[in-house]
Amino acid sequence: MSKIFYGIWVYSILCLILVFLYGYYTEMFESKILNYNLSLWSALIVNVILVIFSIISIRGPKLLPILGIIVTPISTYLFYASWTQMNYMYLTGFIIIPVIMLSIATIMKFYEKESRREVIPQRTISTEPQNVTREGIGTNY
Amino acid sequence: MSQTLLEKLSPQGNPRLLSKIIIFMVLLGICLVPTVKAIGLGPTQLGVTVEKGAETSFTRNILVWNSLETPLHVKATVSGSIAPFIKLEPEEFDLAAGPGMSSEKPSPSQYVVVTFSIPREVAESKYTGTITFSEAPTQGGTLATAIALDVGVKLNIGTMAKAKFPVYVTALIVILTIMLISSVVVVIMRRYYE
Repeated sequence: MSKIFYGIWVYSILCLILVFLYGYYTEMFESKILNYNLSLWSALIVNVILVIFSIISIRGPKLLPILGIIVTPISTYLFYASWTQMNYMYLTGFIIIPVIMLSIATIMKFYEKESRREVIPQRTISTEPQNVTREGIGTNY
Repeated sequence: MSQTLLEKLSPQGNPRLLSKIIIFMVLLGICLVPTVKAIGLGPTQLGVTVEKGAETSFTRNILVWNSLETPLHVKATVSGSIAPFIKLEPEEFDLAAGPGMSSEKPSPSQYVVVTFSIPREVAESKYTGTITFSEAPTQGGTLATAIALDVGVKLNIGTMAKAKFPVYVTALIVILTIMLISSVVVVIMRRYYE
């Protein structure tokens, strides 16, 4: 759980950095590599990081790693389309993805800890009187 | 052989030439009179300079009016390299019969909205084109002459502008930042209480 949690956290930070670069250094995405501008490549790098974290943590709970693998191409396209088409609705979608994933990861992390805590009280000794006989516990004659 | 031009044009000199000239003038008159005054336009030039990525779309208006006493059906088309970035609304419209060319009364008119939509990724820094307003024959079957008046369009694209996020994008950035901070706080607090 912690691997995918930290993976999503890093992914969200990178998304946030990417959006800030989009806002304040817009012209940096203009340069092209292999006929595609930097908006595609930067979004792809960020999403590849998420894919790597998802693959690493696939042995644990399946929800977030599978979700991470599914949203990767969508997220890359949304950022690329937002920059090239100048449509901020695509950018909205790009930001919503880490928001949703981080929410799920935080909730899962929270409940994971809660379930561990719940195990401890079961070991406490009961103060209620018990029927103890020579034959054993819980046998009445 | 030594005839002057007047003598040549006189009925006695060359009657066929004179009649040809008269027929030509009449035909030219039929063609030109409606073309010159039928449709009026303003402005006749549109020049726009924008920063790359500064504006997604903006509009300009062109006024078209009819000076003739007959109704007109006008069709607008765009040509040139600017065509992919321009949309006209309406592309076809009818103009009612005007008060006549010599009248001082206002002519029936129609505004055509020219919407420019320029993506951030454009290959050139200059785009040119023409918006042509041509008169199509009306249903009444008036003389369909090839009338076409043009509005020249020039679009200059400058350097890349900074992105201006709308409110909902800014709000989402704030939410994501809060989420990042709160998730860290949750993890630290849990570790502390353990």
